[in-house]
Amino acid sequence: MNKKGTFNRKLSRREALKLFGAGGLGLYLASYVPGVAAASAQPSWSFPKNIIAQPRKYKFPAEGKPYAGTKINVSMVAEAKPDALKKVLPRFTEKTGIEVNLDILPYPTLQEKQFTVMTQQTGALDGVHVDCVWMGQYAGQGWIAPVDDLVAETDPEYLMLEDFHPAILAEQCMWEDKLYGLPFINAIHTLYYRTDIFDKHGLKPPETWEELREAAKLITEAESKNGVYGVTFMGKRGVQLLCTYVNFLGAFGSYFYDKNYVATLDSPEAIAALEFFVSLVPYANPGVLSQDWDECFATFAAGNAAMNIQWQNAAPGFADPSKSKIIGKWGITLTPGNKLPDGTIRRSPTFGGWCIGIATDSKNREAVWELMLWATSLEMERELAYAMPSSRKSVLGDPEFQKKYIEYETMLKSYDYALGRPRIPEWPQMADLIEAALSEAMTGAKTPEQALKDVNPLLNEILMSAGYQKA
Amino acid sequence: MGLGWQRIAWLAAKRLLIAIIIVFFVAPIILIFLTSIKSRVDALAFPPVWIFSPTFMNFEEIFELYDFGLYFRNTLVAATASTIVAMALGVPAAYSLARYKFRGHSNLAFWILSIRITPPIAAMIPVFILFRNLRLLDSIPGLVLIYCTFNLPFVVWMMRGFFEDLPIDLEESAMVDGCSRFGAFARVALILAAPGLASTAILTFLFTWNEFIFALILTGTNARTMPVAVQLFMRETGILWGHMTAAAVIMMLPTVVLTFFIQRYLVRGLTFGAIK
Amino acid sequence: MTSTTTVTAQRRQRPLFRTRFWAHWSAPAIMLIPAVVILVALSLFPMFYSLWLSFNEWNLGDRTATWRFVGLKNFITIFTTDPFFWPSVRVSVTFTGVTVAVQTLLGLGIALLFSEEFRGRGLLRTLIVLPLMISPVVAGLIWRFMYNTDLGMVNYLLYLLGIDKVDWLGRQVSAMPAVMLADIWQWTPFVALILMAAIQALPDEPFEAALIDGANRWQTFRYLTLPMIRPALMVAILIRTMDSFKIFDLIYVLTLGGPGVSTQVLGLYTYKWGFKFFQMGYASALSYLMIFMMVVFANIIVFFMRRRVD
Repeated sequence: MNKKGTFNRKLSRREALKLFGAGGLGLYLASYVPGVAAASAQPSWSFPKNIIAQPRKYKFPAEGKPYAGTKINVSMVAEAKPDALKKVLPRFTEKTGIEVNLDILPYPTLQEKQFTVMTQQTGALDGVHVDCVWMGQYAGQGWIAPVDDLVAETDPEYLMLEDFHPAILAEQCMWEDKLYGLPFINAIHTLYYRTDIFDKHGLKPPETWEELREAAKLITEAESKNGVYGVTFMGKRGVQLLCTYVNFLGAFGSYFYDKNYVATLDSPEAIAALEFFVSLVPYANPGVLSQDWDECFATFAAGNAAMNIQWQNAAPGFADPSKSKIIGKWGITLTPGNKLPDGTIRRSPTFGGWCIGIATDSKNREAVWELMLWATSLEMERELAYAMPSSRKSVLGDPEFQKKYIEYETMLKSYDYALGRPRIPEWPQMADLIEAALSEAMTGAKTPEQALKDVNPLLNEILMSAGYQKA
Repeated sequence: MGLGWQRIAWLAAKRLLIAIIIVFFVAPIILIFLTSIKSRVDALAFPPVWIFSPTFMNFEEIFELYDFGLYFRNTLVAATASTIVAMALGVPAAYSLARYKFRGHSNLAFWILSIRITPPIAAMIPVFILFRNLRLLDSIPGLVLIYCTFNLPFVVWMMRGFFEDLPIDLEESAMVDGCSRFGAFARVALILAAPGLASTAILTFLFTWNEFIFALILTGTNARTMPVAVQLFMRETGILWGHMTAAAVIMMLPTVVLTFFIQRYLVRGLTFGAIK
Repeated sequence: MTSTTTVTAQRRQRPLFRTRFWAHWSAPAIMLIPAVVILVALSLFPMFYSLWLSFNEWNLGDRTATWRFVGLKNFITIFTTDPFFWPSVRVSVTFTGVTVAVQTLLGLGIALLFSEEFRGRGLLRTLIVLPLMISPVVAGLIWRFMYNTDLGMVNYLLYLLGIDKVDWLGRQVSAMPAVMLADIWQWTPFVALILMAAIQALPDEPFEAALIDGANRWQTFRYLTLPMIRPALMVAILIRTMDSFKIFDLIYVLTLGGPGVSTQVLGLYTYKWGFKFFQMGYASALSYLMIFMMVVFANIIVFFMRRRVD
């Protein structure tokens, strides 16, 4: 029981040794928070060897339409990439003869709809889109099955598993050392800034949180009379606020719980992170605390903020003349961090993303795998890049794409530091409590210290009753 | 008395109040209708534009892009089928409750009413598990069955009132003439209660048409109904208002039309026959 | 039909008491039993099932999890450590109290305004009823659109008055009143409709007598109209209280309980435990508490109804 946890990305002994050299608090954290551990600026991600396909006769991608006539039901989240996939599905059907019923649902209801169907165990749902924080629920509780066997039967030249960024694969598709699917949609928090305003005030994009606050203060004081504020972010209670907090939490050297599954949100580091986060509110636009993704986007796109902490998936919109008033006047960089004694900067950009998995009860595993292979193939990843960025290193690193999609370079760099949220099955319950606490601190209903000290025992209770902690 | 200025002012004030009330209750509905026939640019304009060239693009798109035809059909089938089932089972039951005063008949009647009052969310958990074991989740028959839990009590309670209003003499004389109990029920009572029957059926249909919670929890993709499907238009990155309002208009249309037909029995229907 | 009569004719040959009993009770039994069986299957059985479940722990989300008897643990947790239960009760009670009170007063006012004959009254009355007949989900959508920060009608009206845009559903202070207003919009016609019917059914004589006695408007209303429509008023209040307390759809569409837990009613909270966290035992316990509270409220109202009548 105790074993199933978030920290399933095992570090090899050599990597661990390397990381322990990072020093400071990072040393303590290295053993369990990969993102923070990577703060030594040395990418720690390595590819899990045991799942790389062995050469043999391959079954996938299949020749001669062996699955023609199969009908598969796939459920995905309502974002640009599944929408784009839906448009090109006729080509897949033409190629393989497999008919796909792709049901696209918005995030708030997606999971319960998937569960409604899956819980009957009839195989009515074949492919499911899984948010990385649901991995514990889906993979850990057996609703989706590992795909290692399918990988072994697949032509590695086509799959090119090693081409997916290992961080993405580990966070979005792996559970307890097994691969459960392929990534489709990946996202990471970044910092957007206004190049014109920064130039005007002789500022550089901030490397540390302290620098960010100073810049925000300076800009707010100078520009707020023109309706431009220092910074903006997603401050409304909800999953986005929690995601934004992760950027601070890791950088300040803490996490939601430690390796013994004891909640650590009452630690001085976690409190300092929240106190710092709250201290940005005066330098943000007045409506910041009611902003979700779209409102935050709108604020920065309208030119009302000089910096914006948001997912990289806002970038295409900022470059779209029909939505943005700041065309050509913005840049994107890594989220800031905190300077460690050895001079390196510890960052923890929040990690998010989705994996397509195959339902355990599906009777059409092979057909779903065909779809997954096709949808995440290099060819399609390049084609669908107009909707959302690829998970493949070769696309993210392609100079041509980097020129076209300004966020790719930053994304590639950010993944080395990326910090995910816990993925245990109990996380949704914990997240609900934490979101409320963060919201209370942001609105000033409680001090950050009080809010976190109030919520921490509740988290411990969940962790204890779920059997992670020894009483 | 004459029309003193005070009286005129009082009258004017009343008229104004009535006007405000009508605007408050009707304007939002009209607004939704207007938005649904605006183009995307017009719909998102602020301040709102009042003169525009209407388009049915939104209606076309929700059927083309979102499978709304399936959800429409599901809603229609579920509502019609469950109305028929509830009427077929409920009307005879109502008749026997109205005509036979066996021991505990009023307790039975109240128990039936109490089912209607139970919060659906409370019934939801066991029903979900039951349906899961019976493989009835995400299926139209499952929906029809569960809609009986609130349609059946409603039909029983409403029709019981209508039957009690009928003079019993006619049925008795029919039975003297050789009709059986069933004959008296089918040939006399049902015919006499026809207006009540029709309005009960219409109200049952409307309640089911509008139903949300059961459909939300018990359907996945196959049996999804329209009230649940509107969530398709609420996205993280903003709400698709054109599509959303078009869907709302489609859902509203039958209710608005049918409301005009059942005016007379509306109060009775909404109060479970407590007020006639 | 002929076959039925023959069957009855044949029965006449049987012993007297059995024939009578059967002849009298066969019809109602045959008519009643299918409906009762269905209702027992669909309501009574699940309710007992869920009662038993509330003493257990069961995570439906876990494929391998089974029921674990925990006694009163769920209830104890709800009452002692659950940080959102009491706030949800408070939200539900506040919501019910305010909306029912406003709907009753407004509905009464509208019913009185419409009690006098004027041209177009019938049509206008039909128009007012419309909000009542549309789905709460659609009502939620309508108001979500009205409250939209950037293109909503509410902010447009404020803009005409020169007031800045307000994020009605996103703010702690305004979300609850905004949700209440949507509910008031939808259900005031309900109260109004019932009271209109009640007022219309009033006899003329007492009012004529009062006019002769020189009673003013207020006195006629206070001592004649009000007491005479009291039963209808109480029915309206009873039904509205029950419906308001179990509200779900409207809030689900408008705010999903946010911001914070400011609009998280009990129904929504129960739903969250059942179908977001899949803790079926805990959710069952919550739903039982909800039913219990509804029964208590209903009895309080019925008590007042009876007392006034006596």
